[in-house]
Amino acid sequence: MSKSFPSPPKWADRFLSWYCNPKLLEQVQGDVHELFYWRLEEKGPRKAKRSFAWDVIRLFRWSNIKRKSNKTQKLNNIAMFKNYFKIGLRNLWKQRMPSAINVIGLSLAIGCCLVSFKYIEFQLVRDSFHEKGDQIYLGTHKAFEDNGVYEYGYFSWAIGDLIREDYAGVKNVVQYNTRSVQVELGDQAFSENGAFTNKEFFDVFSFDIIYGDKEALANKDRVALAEMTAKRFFGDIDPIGKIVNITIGGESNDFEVGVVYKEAPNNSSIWPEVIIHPDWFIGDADRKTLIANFFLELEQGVDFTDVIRQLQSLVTVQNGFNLDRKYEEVGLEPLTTMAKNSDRIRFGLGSRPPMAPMILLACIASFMLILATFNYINIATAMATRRIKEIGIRKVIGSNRGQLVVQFLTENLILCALAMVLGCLLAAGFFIPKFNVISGSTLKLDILNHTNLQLFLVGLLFFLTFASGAYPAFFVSRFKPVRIFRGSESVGGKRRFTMGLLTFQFVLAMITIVAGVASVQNNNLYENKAWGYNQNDKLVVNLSKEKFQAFRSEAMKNPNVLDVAASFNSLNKHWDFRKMKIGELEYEGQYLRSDAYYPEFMEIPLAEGRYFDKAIPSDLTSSILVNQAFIRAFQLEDFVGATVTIDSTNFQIVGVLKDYFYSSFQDGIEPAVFKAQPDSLLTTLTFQAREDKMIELRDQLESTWAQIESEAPFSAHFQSEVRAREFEDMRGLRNVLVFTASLAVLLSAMGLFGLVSLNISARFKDFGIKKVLGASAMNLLGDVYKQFSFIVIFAVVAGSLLAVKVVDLLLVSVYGEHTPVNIVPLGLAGLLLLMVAAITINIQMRRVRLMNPAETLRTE
Amino acid sequence: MKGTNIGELEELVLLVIGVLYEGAYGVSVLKEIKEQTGREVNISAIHAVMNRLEDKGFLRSEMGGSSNTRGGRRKRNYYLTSSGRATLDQVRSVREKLYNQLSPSASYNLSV
Repeated sequence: MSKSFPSPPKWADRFLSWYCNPKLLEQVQGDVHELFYWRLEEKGPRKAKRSFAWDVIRLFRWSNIKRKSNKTQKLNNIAMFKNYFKIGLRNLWKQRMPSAINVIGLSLAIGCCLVSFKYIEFQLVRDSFHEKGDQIYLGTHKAFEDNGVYEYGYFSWAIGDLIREDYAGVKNVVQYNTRSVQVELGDQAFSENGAFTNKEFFDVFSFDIIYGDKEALANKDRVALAEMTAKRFFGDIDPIGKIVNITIGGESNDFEVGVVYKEAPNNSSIWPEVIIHPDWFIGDADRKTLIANFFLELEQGVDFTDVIRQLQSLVTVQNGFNLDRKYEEVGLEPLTTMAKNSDRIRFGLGSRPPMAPMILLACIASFMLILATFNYINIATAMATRRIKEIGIRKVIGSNRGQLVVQFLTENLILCALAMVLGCLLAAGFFIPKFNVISGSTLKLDILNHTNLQLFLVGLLFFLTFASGAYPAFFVSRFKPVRIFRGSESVGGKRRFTMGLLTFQFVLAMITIVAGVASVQNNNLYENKAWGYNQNDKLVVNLSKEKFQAFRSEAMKNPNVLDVAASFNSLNKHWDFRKMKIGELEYEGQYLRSDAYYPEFMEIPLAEGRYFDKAIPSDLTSSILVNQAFIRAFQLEDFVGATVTIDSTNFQIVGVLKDYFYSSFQDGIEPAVFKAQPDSLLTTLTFQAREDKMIELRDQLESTWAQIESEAPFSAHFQSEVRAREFEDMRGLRNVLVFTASLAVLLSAMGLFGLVSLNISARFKDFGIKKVLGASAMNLLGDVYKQFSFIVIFAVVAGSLLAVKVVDLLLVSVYGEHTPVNIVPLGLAGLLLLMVAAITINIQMRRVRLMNPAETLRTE
Repeated sequence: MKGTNIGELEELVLLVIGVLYEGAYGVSVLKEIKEQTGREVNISAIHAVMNRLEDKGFLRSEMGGSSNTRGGRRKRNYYLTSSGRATLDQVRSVREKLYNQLSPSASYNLSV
């Protein structure tokens, strides 16, 4: 190109040729070139070049841009997909058995996934229902305590008041104190979670008001009730204006119901049942020493880091109060992350969701998913090899490999969608309700208005489609037509991949069975574990100090009462840990006060020494009984003469009790101490009932109670039931694990069944010939057996080794102390798997045995 | 077929193509508009308008001869169709009818 004769900028020209529709390219390019040379003469090369580029850019518009597919091609595509769908559906129908195995397996797995998704989402997404959630922050401060600086989720009231008055960008400040209060109406009385907060609470948080107006709460004699609480008292009517009596810390007052609001969903960190004016909490206390959680609602669009910077001035204010509490720094924690960070923020609100169940559920769901997907891969590969002629013909006609892959993926999508629908039905109708019963949660499958769930479902559908369909699709589309028709494509040849997957499935099944069996084993062990005392036929009644004697003497007249003992609280319901000291050694231990008779009454066996003796006055003041763990912890050779200091009082040990469980089994046994006290300080009576009369006795005592005490409700429980909750949780877990194990066995058996069946079908003609020549059924199936039994046995061995490790981890986290995975679960699991495999193969064997060789040989 | 109403630039292009009679194609239309009205229209706009007018049936086109400056590329020649001509006539009559209704005596204050 000579310098004297400039040409249009090359990049622009190329760009034009690249994007322009070839049908238009000639005239368009001609025009711009002509314009270029015209402008070259008129305006000079620089301007001409610039204009050329500008023209090219301006021509880059929809009507000129080349599009790959024009209309006719699109139509073809649709027709092709229609054909894929039709062929896919026909194939599903034609090969009903393997298709059913696939669909059932996948839908079971999807059901499991849905349950765990719902549960995990529910646990992780907390406090999300507030409309202004992103503007609400919990006020925090950092302070020095216990040799370190920690973050605390509260302020003093004085500081909270300052924030309300002074700071720009803060729209509302809500203080929030909770305290258990007793609410009474007529002869009903309930203990409720009372919240002390002002009426702005309803501006900031999205609790819907059902009856009444929040302004009513400006009056300190009005309260707000949660819907369920109101229903309990008043039934379904509008309770506004009704009077309830509320006891706050020993002081009773009448309140008028001003507001009824809908309670929080149970993933909320704040769930007040009664909202009371804050003045009732303050009383005469100094606002500088009184603390509360403070929620700040910021103005829209305000950056919370700016607000934090402003708030730092409070540090000097607080420290100017000259109290013990010195702030280092003031901060804000978003409401939405408050629960997640509740480990870090002391005395904040909300709690971190427990990780162990989430991990367990996620593991179960992925196990199931893996099993079902592997089933699919194996069966689909085997199924597709029967359609090898179709593939050959399609290839000859001209479809390329990509199109075949798309075809198989489409078929897979149909199947997965089917499984999806079934899985949702399964989850909604069976899995989730059952799971709710076990876990005590209230999960619901609301597909229509739950965006996260919809996203999850769509994601899962595509994941399943590709994860399960990719290998079969690529495997099958690889065959060469020439070899297919010549018959030299070794279809059923070495299927190492398939066999590998099957092995893996059986290993997983093995692990889940071992987990299931081990949990059953440990559960039984737990439920039969001795508690260390006699919990049978004992009725526990809680009462007040004033009515203690009156009730006791009245109750003793009852013929069903054999014996009675008093204590401050009953075993397994008591949480009082105190520091205990002997010389320099110090441990924290359980401290239970009772009358002199209680330990003997509970039949806690003595190891050494004696029980308390009422006749010895010092036993009621300076004597204690300890457990064996106490002796071990303090390494006492001889308990006599040892002086134990608890709360700066000295005690003598008079006896050693054998170890007993005073809290959950997982917690194990730490040092524990009984201290005898006069009856006047005790609030719990434990009655030994006549055998089988316990329930009768409870009802009788309830009416006795009504004669003596009219105000407080009768509160009683059976000593044998204090572990009910603990056992229930474990039974729930056991049920989940056993269910998982049975699913896993079912899925892997189905996979094996499908594979064996396809394997046999492919060699039906072989078998026919062999049979004619006189082979027995055993001969025929010898190598089928050999192949599959090797897999199962290998899986049992490998699975056992893995299970010992994996299941042990699980057991440690659930049961704490547990029987290790021993030969029982391993043997049972192995036996079960071998049996299932044998049965599965034998069902198929029947087909071969009953087969008439003439028939197979005649066809085709 | 799209509606028969045409815009201002469409009318202008239609007129110019009519005026050029034979030999109307992108660049010649662009040059003619510039000469006759002084307006500089981008070539992309001309192409878009001509395509639209062809869709409406006011123009027809065929590939014509090539020239050196076009690097041997052929051009697409456009011709006015009878319905294009009719539309021009209709547009003109509407304009004239309205124009004639302007009162000659009244003075219109332009300086608002």
